[in-house]
Amino acid sequence: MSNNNNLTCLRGDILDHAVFLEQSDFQRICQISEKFLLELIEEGVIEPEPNQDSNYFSGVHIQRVRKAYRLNCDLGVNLPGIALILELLEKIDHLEKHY
Amino acid sequence: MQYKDYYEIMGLEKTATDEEIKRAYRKLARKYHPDVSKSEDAEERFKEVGEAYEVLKDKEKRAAYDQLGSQWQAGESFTPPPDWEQYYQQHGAGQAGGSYSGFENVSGEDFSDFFSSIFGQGGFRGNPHQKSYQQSTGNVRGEDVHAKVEIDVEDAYRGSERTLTFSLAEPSAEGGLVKKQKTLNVKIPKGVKEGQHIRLAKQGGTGFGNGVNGDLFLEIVFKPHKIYQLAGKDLVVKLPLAPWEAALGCKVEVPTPSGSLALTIPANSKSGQKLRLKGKGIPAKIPGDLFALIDIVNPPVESENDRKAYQKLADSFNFQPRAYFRENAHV
Repeated sequence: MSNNNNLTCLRGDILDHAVFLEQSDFQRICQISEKFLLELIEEGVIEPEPNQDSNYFSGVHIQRVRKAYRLNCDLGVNLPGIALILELLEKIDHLEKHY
Repeated sequence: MQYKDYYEIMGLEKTATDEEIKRAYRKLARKYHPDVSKSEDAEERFKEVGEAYEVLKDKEKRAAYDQLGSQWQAGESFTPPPDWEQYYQQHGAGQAGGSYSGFENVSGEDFSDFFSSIFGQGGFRGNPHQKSYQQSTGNVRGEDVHAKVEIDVEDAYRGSERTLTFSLAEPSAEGGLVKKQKTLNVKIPKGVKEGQHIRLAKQGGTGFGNGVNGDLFLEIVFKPHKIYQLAGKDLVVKLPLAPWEAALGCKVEVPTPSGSLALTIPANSKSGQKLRLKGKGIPAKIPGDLFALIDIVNPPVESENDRKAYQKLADSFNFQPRAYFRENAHV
């Protein structure tokens, strides 16, 4: 392995709400198929950013989509189940913040 | 390397049926799924259960595992029998490969050393939605690398640096794939939030032909903090107060990741009230806030003197803490 001290320090981009990703890019980052993405949109789990010709997604949705993917993959939860779980998890987070 | 008792992990007897194994797995997977569970070791337990299920659900793997014998104890130092590889290859069972999405660590390895020593490496598991190198000729984009980076709350205030090492499937000179280690120094900018992804463009796997390099994606995960609780870009800190501090008002020092602050507690403060320290949350263009959550704690009575002090309080107040019972209970 190379000497760590010789490495320059790399700076990345935070993929937050201000970053809009094209659909293909978004899918690649979330590691999901187009089919799964379209199902998530149909179920109202995420929404594309309103944009003129192409579908764009905010970077802030990545976490939500990854969670949905893992719930589907690991526990076999279906789309309505995923939507419900995500809502309940958010509710729990909210309650814990305001206990 | 430590021996793993897959039956014990699943809470099963060695005689468990396939049905029982499946049921135990489903139950434990739900319990320890890191997206659902709040327990700190959820991810570790989830992986362990996934690995145990990977072996026990598969007739051949289970038979091979049982063949190791029952003299092993969980956690005991383990070396596979000398003729193991031969035995295992003769008795079938192909490649290991998890069916679950995996919460890979930086090295990208899903299974324990114990698992790998018995069943071999899981092989390269790149992005399932990307064409594999072998199937294509010409230019192929390099492998994306996804990793989690654990940081402290303080890192989000100051920014920090991390040295990451991960293994990658890189195209070799012969046109095949070789596993290579890559080490990078990465800046974690200040202002990051839980679950955010950082993209380091082209820092993933090398492209094939004229294909561009893959990207490196880092997911930010905060280590649990003893004092601060994160809520997006806000921070909550529990503020214990003595009853007289809350009643009379006082000035207390509150720790924040950017240094202590003096906070004025107004008289007659109540448990559960939150005092906002504007802009003292995670830094950003519009920074988060820090909330001090008042928690009144009673000093315990430990001497006759203490008892007298409380008694004096009781005598001097005509306080009805449960007045609303009387007002609202219709008998």
